Amino acid sequence: MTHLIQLHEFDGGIHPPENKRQSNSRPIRKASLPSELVLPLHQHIGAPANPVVAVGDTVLKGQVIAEPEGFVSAPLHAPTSGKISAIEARQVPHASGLSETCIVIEPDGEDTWIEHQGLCDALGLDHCDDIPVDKLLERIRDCGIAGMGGAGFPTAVKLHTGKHKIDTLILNGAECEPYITADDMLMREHASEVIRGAQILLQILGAERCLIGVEDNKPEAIAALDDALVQHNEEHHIDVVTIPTKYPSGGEKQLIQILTGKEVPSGGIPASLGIVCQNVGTAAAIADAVDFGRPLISRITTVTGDAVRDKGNWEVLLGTPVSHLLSLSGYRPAKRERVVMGGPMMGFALPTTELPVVKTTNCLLAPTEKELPTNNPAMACIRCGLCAEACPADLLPQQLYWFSKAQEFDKAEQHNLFDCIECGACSYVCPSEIPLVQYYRFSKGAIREERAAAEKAEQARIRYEARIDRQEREKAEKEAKRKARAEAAAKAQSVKKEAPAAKAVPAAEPAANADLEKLQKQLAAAQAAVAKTKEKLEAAREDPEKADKIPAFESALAKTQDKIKTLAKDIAAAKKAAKSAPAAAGPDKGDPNSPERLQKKWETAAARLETARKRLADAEVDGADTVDALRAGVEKQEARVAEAKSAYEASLNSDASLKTAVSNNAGTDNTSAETVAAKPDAEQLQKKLLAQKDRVEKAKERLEMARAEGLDSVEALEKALNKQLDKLAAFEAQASTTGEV
Amino acid sequence: MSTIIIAIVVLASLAALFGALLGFASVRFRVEGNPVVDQVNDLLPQTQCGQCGFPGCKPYAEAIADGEKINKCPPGGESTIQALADLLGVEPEPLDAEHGAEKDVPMVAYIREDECIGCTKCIQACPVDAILGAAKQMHTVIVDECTGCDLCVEPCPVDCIDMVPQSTDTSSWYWQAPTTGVELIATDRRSLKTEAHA
Repeated sequence: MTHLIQLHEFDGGIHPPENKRQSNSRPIRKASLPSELVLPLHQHIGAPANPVVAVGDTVLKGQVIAEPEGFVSAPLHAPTSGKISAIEARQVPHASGLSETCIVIEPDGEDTWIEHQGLCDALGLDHCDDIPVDKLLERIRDCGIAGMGGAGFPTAVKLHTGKHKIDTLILNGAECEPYITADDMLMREHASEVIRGAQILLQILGAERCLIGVEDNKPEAIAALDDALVQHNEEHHIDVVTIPTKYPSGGEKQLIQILTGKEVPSGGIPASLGIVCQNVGTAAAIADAVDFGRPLISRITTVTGDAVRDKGNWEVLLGTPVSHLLSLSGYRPAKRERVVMGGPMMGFALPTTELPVVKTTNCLLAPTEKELPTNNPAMACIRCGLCAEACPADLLPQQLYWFSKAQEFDKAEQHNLFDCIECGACSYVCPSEIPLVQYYRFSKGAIREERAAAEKAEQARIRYEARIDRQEREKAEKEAKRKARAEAAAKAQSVKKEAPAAKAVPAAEPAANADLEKLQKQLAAAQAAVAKTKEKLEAAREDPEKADKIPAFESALAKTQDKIKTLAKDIAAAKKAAKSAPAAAGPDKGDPNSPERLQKKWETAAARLETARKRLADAEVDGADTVDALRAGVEKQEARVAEAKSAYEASLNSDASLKTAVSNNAGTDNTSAETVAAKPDAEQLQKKLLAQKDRVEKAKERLEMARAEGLDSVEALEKALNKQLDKLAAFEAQASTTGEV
Repeated sequence: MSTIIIAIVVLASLAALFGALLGFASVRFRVEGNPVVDQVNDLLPQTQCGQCGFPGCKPYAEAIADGEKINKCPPGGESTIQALADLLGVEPEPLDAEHGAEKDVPMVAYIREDECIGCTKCIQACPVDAILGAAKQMHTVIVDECTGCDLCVEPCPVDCIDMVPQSTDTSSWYWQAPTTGVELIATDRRSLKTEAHA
């Protein structure tokens, strides 16, 4: 230590019995090869790795057997050479005791390494200090290194600090939890690798200094690290800092606070303070990976507790069954004893010992009942407040307990439940022996599940709304298509209608109708035009400036009126034609009651009767069963023939009578027609008379206006008036004569 | 006299000013639609199962805003009823059994793919498009999108759809709350401990 480091303190914390002497008194031993290695695909935080080998494949030591899936993930390597015997769901070392996919390797005993070399050699560099940062990160990722302290966060991901500028690297060698000595032994025996790892990490992060925090109960480790520092000539960058022993000084946030006095904000990460924290074991693994190309395939695990005879640390291949390691250590299981993975404070009891050692397994604790008694039944909380004093995260464990128990999760969250590091200090000090941490874990899980459900509900809502939108859109499109089709069909229909109307006589009726409609339309248009011109005329008359336009308007008006008259005539003609059309079509071949048709019917019926009779005769001769049926048929046929005959005769008679009736009526018709014709004539005359009177009135008006204004047209108008008056007189004379008739 | 006039003028002008301000705010910050509907909709589980008798969660939310009962959502269960009661300020009622019972475990649809004939009926029934497939092709459920609403089960002509409980893995598992038995006082504790040892 060459720098004077001002140490700080975090609130709370406890001093449980250390129990480290049992396992740190002898050097690390190498565990022997077990009969099979079970490698869960999910040994780290993030997505499980994706297997790249198949059952039956032979693999070499250090060969990749599973690739990372996504960014936050880590690959998996074969810890020894052998054969893949299975890829299946096996129980994994997790508090849940659930099964997950594992790759099972049957070792061949050769322990043959795959070809591997240090990154420096691989890149062919002269100076190993010049390795580019991205190559270093790639190597760390490829070697499957995940945080060895306990959480197992993929190291390469943690080293991607993004926008944060890092000035301090902290290596965590505190190892504060009782019983565990894996990091202690690693620092004693592999101090050089730890320092080398720190160098690499400093290079990657571009940090200025590195602090290695070690609790003062590990003097040998501190001495070894100091020696290694001198060896590596790194006294000026890296400091080994002795910190007081207190649980949980090895928590990331707590260690940062001790060494720098800075507090990681709630929900924040150390990188936001310019700090990155790594475990010493991770640093050693990084050194191995970069300098020698050895992936993370083994780790140091403490096996301790009074139930094992031979306590100590083992360098153990990942995937080694816990039972194998325990038997190497002389495990003598007694009644109701359990094996804990991790320490006594934060570890969890294993449901069975047939579980593999994984990247985060730092300790296997096999305590006797006397050594570590099972929890007593919890008693009521007496609100003593000891837990609040012990909490290293400055939370209110008691409040969190009440909220968790009552499942008031929102209140628990408001009391910063998620800042709880689950260190177990509160449960340790609790005089009522309430399993506080278990309550917090439950609350955290329930809140996470609630959040996931809310997210899923939101997703479902979006998908549902998208579906409704899509259905409406499709409906609208269909409707539009249907309309377009209907329009096209209507058009085709009208084209069809018009085409035969132009040619064929039989279809005269619809054509006549069409003509009639057209004429009526023209009439309406003309009438509208008349109305307009009349309005204009009025306006012109009132306005002296437009007076010169009056004659033009008048002529236009007269023209349109003429047009109306002709149109009216045309319409009348068209109407007559339309009426006469069906009448003309009357005596036609199409009439089913015409005598010709009836005659034909009669003849065919008679012919059928003949054949039926013949068949009957044949059948009678043969004595067939069908005789009766045939006879009935013949009778029916006879009836039909009779019917047809009578119908024909009737039609002939009616035809004749019709003709005679027409000829008889002809004379009377002529006379009556004259009288009928006379009536409309009289009406017409009356109408004409009225119209003529109108005209005379108008002519008089015009004349007066012209006189008043002193126009030149006075004479012409006078003449016109006289003419109109003459006409009127003539009409009146005619009307009087017709009226008399 | 002048003070009274000044006071009246000041108050009148203030009234006019605030009136204008409020009028402007009511136009500028106008909320489209009924915000209660969205709040209610956010509380509903969005399974779109139609067990409430409405064609989806949004229509039920609209109905609740119009005074419909809040106890018709079996997938939401008691917690949803409680949340709705809190939001709307009404008394929570027990779940209406007529619409079905609350399930303990979230379910997910599973198509036995060997038996699927590819009729697409379930695809048309799924309210969240969580079934993948085409006519005369095998169909399958996108588990992450399935809300477990049951609506695909009934239309299947070959009955190849099962509702299975959602499986938990190590990432979705979490610790359960400690079983709170009788909480003991100190004198009871000793006897219980000796019992445990025996």
